[in-house]
Amino acid sequence: MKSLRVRLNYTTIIKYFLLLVWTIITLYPLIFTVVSSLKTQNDMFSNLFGLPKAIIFDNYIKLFTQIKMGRNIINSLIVSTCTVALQMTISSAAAFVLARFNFRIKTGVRVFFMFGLLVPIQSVMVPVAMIAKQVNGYNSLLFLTVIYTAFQLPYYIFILTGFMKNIPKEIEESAVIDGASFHRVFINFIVPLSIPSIASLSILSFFSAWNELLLALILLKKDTTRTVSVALLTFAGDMFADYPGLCAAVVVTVIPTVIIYILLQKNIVQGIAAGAVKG
Amino acid sequence: MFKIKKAISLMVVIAVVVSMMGMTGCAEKVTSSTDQTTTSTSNSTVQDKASTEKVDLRFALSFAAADPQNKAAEVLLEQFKKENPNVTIQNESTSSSRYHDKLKTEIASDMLPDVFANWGGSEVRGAVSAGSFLDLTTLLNENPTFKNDFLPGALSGPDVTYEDLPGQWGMPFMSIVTGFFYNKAIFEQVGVTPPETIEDLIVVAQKLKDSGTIPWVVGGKDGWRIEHIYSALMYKYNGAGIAKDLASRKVKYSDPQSVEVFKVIENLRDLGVFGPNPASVDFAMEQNLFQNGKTGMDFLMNAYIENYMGAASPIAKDVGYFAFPYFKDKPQYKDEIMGGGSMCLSISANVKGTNREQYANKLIMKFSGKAGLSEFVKINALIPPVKLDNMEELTTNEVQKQFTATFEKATGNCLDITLYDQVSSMLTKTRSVCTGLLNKQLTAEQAGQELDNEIETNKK
Amino acid sequence: MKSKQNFKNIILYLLPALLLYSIFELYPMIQAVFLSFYKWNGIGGANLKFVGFNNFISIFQDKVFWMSIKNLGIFLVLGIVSVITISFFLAYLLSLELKGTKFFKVTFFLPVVLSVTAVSLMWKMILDNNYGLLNTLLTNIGLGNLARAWLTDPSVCFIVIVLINSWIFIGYYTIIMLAQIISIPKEIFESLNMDGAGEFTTIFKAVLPLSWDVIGICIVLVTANIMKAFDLVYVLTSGSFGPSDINQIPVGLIYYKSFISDQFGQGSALSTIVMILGISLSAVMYFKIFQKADNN
Repeated sequence: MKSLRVRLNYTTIIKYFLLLVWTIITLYPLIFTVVSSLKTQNDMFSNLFGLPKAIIFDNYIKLFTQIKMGRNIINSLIVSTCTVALQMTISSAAAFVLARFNFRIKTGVRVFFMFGLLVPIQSVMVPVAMIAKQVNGYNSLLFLTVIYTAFQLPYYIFILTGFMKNIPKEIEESAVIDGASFHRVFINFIVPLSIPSIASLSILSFFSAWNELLLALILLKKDTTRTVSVALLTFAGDMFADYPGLCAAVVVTVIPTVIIYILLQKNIVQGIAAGAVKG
Repeated sequence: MFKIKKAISLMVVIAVVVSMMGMTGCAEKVTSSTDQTTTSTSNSTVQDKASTEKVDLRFALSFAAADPQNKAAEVLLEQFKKENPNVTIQNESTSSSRYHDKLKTEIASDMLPDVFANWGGSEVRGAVSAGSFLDLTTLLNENPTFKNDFLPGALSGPDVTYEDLPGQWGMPFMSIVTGFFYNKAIFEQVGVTPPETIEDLIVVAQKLKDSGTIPWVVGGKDGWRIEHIYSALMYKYNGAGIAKDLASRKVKYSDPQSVEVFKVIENLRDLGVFGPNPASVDFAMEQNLFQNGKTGMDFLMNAYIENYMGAASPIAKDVGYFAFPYFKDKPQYKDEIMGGGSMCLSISANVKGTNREQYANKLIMKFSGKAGLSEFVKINALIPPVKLDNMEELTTNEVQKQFTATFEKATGNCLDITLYDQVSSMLTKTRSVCTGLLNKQLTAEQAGQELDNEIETNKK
Repeated sequence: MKSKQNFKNIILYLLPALLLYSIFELYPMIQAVFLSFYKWNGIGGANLKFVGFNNFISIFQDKVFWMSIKNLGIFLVLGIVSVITISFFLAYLLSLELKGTKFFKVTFFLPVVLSVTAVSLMWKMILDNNYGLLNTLLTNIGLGNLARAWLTDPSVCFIVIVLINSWIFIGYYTIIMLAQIISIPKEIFESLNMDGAGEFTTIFKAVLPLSWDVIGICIVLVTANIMKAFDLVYVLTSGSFGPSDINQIPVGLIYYKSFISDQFGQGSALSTIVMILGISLSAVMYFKIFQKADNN
């Protein structure tokens, strides 16, 4: 008995060690960035690892006064939330129909959507840029939202279809017996049951829109319409290797997503696990 | 209860969409209303042509917002705003390293800014022949004083005209002169003086290296840094006419005239003259290193005098200048320099016939007219393409005088080596090859071959 | 009556998705294919010249194209292996429900939600040759000879990029696999324990085989993620995919050909090639996964 306990402790230590190693690999770069953002350039380059000799907020102040990043953050928020709203509405409607009904063209439609699953946006950026020119979509947050939604559709329809398939038929049947119409079944029964999945997918959709770079780079020319990713890149490229300033910009870009993440992390984790394992 | 849920979600979506559209509209309102408040008190007799119609003008120079060089631009933009209160200038300027990509992308997607800087030459040739640039001949003819202010030859330089594409495609703006900035304090400490020949340079570099500093810093990650060195060396080795010979294919990039120069770069690289891993240093870092006294010399241009010698620079008082050294056995090319041609300003053909055209013309004249250029000389140590009567008073900086002297002494000059080339991707390719050479990915022979291959593949 | 009415509603519910997808994704895809057979000098000038398969021939003769394919291969192999193995073992460790597991879960997932651009810039600073955290750290602990130009040294640069991508996304797959491992019935562990099986045996003989399905799904998702990886490489190489094309990837080359080097026809041809690759992989996925799901 004694020897068993000793053996358990030894392996447990190794397990903790491994977990801690990965924690350090994950967190240290981020912590380093935050700490560096509070230093002056001289401080950072002479005292790379230590805490700031004197904590300064100048880097952050510069961001909001000189670079006016607030505007870019708002733009990103707008595009991301609209993408999510549009995306979830359209995908769940389509997924509902594809999951719960049988009709002749169903398989065809599913295959149709699958075409775009692994096609990257960048491979069609030229035609997209051409369409943008025709419909005056440059500098339009609306156009960007529509493009993001269109390209994410195959992915979310795929996952939601899989999830909705697993909802027991009885729920639907009893609803119909109670006299619920087509739309009622969807809105009052299927959607509420799919909320965990939809919630977590919303979060993923939000982040992927928030982080997208290339299309935003090509289509958003005015600095008042730029999203955070583009602004960050512009800022980074124009500086004389002002690393603390860059660290501050990184932190500011990352904070909104971290806050949303910490508030909603339970949902995210649950939903992804559910969706992927069952789907 | 469920109806309410649906209604709420619908309202949320609508609210978001509306607010988003409102926001984009708001943005314009905010920017233009601030303009209104600052200019509403200005004299309304300034311009009789001023209309009340709101106009947005897109403008881009290749200076970053934080760049000291931008100060002159800001002064002129302020003046323009006062004179044209109904015009909002959308400034899309960005640093030199990123500007080329931005320009290329905009040419490709037909989204050039209304007034923008460029360097002419092979890079924008395709765009010019496709009609993306506005022919400025009419503008010049309608403004004879403006036209006559330019120095002879400036308006027909290879950066603003093409032999086979008749028309005036740009206004000369900045003459670039390249040369070495060096840190006088470090040189004194190590006990060296500015070299005159390449051979001397290597000796000086050796001593600097031994003292633990980077001899000659190069931001090799940004291809244009090392491509400039290649161009400068080519002119010292072959005379500036080599650029035309390469463009006419009389000389190939894989011929000895070019490969020998690549070998010089290889040699400098292997001797550690450029420091360790120069291809991992970008231009921003290069400037940072020089400004913080971590290197002895930096081969750059007159446009950066303000960066290194302005009030914000830590080594301002220690900065000196020397001209690019010549090859000991080629003294006849001693005064062939990289430079001269200029950054120019062009107007996008898309403004033609719109209400932006007249303002684009005004803006371009503001920047490349005598008054505007004086600002740039004063603040940026620019060598202008116009005859300025008060050049003496404007040029107070010693280093600025030395740059100008080199320029005036030159027996031949050319800007980038690919200036006359007909293949539009040649400049980008040359820069990529130079970085590859610097990073030991290519040998001198391979570098030459790659460039010839680029010409071949673009013949189809 | 019900079927007809239903069918109308079905179409109604499908229409927005179909329209959006067709107009903004499918139509551009078709246009890209169409344009690959032409030589043209950009949206500004519209001189289209039919050149048949010349663009494809040029692409296949282009050294940089093969470099990008090679890089994609490295990306896929190294990426999938590093992500799946590390995620799996982390998921296993988390399934043991040691104290602090919640903290670890939250932490590991964090990089997934951060902006890839921001993360790339952060790593760029850390890996800087002169002032970077990594090289300074190595020098300080005496391993100075390991210090190198991580992002431009031809022998390591692309591998570094792949590893950064893995760093970002491992948390995501850890959570997915964790859900799977947790759902394994406790009886299996108990019976193995009774038989005196050690930890390693348990992992390899029980946990791993029972997780194959989820691992399969993860492999597919990682592939999708890698095919679309543009931002990361773009930012880490300062937009050049270099030095001298050494870090080029297929989607990066499309961007370069189309927007930087005025070779729109070739850019479109490459787009077509990449799309064919994507569609084939999608088809494989469809049959692998949907067959399984339908069988269940």
